[in-house]
Amino acid sequence: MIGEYREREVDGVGNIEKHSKIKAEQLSQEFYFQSLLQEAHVKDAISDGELEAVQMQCLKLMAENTERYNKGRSSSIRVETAQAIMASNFYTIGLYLKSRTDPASALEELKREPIAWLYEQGLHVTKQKLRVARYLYLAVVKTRIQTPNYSYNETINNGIKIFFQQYNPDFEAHETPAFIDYQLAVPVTGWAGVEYMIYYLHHLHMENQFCARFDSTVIHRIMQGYHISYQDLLINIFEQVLQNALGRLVLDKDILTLNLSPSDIGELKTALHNKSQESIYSLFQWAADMILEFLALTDQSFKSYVYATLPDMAARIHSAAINGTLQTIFVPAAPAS
Amino acid sequence: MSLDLMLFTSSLIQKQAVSEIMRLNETTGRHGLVLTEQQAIELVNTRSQSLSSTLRIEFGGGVIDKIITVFCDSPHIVPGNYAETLNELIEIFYYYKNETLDIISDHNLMKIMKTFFDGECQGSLELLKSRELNKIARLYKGEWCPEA
Repeated sequence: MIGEYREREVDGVGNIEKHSKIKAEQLSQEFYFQSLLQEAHVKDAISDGELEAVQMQCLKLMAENTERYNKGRSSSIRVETAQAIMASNFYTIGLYLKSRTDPASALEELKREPIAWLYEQGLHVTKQKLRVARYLYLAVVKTRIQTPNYSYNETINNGIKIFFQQYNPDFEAHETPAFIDYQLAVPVTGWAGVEYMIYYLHHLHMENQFCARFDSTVIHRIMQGYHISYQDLLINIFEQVLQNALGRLVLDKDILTLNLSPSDIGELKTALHNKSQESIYSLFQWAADMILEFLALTDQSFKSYVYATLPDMAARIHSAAINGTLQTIFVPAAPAS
Repeated sequence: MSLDLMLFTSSLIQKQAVSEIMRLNETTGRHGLVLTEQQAIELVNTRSQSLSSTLRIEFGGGVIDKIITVFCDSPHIVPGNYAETLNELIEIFYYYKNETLDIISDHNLMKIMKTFFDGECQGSLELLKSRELNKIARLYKGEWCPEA
């Protein structure tokens, strides 16, 4: 949040008044550079002359990058290629500006520094973020769930690897070339390029770490309880594990077994009878806190991630409690084969 | 305000292109060839129309300044036909950029155009477009093979 502040010159010649009118939450993470300029223009934080100067420099950068793209062979390119290069340039500049303390500082730097320099800094930031993404990928591989689920394994084995092979920070920095079939419990939205991949891997790593606290065979039987051929489904494993763990905790039972028998589900039905969606949410929020403490997952990011799953989960539980279909959420384990 | 590409093409590219063309008068003036601002604007408009019809985009002066630089010492260009010749050369350039399937680089296409314009075509834009460059385009498209 940026508040308003004023500075007065020591010699009293005039006031330097600096209004920080741009709120960080109004800016797009995916199109940061464009939204910063848009907000600055709307809030009169950038003059028409300054805006035109930025636009002219962006054009110059476009021309230079187009020449690089064509390897100097041609000064004209197809319109759709130009749009992609422009989006890539803006994304890269945005990555650097985002790393500033706040939007006001980012805007000041945008007005002060050449666009070409901001772009070069953005390329450095991109390389740093790629290193972060690689580190997270290794962490995901190290903590992966032992499961036959195809979409999970294929995403980790191949789909994400493609990103590191094909990501093009020079001309397609805003793209995320990957085949990601495995859907997270909390999808990544509003991010693009390497940042999208970082958030996806971070979420997946947290899900893996949570599931790693449970026996993989137990998880497998729970998933088979959901559907005997779950290996072929586009299903999130962590979410099912979390749901069963929450159910067991509400019943004051050992969460590590994860299993909920038909009589357990009957007890849950009684416990949730006539509860509003809000009180179901509060109950499971308390249960989530207990589970994370028990599993020694005390980092705030785990709490935030689990909490993010609860609104939708509470809605589904509320609906299932009314319709008598709680067994579709809190599933009994399949018999041991 | 939008930073959409179309916004750039509508005003800023034109402004930048015209100023780059006018700067070249310093060089071409040595050959007695100078463009007025109005003629520079006409060249930019010709380029815009050619790019539009071929679904391409270009930044800054793009090829206009290169065409000016390459052709300014042609013996067949004089102050009286300078602007008109440049307009036609721009149209011919983009037409054959497409006709040669983007395979020939800008530099090589201009070199070919200059060689034929000064040589076989003796300054005739009609011969340049309809005969010499047409042969080359057909060669690239596999429609013609020069006799052994």
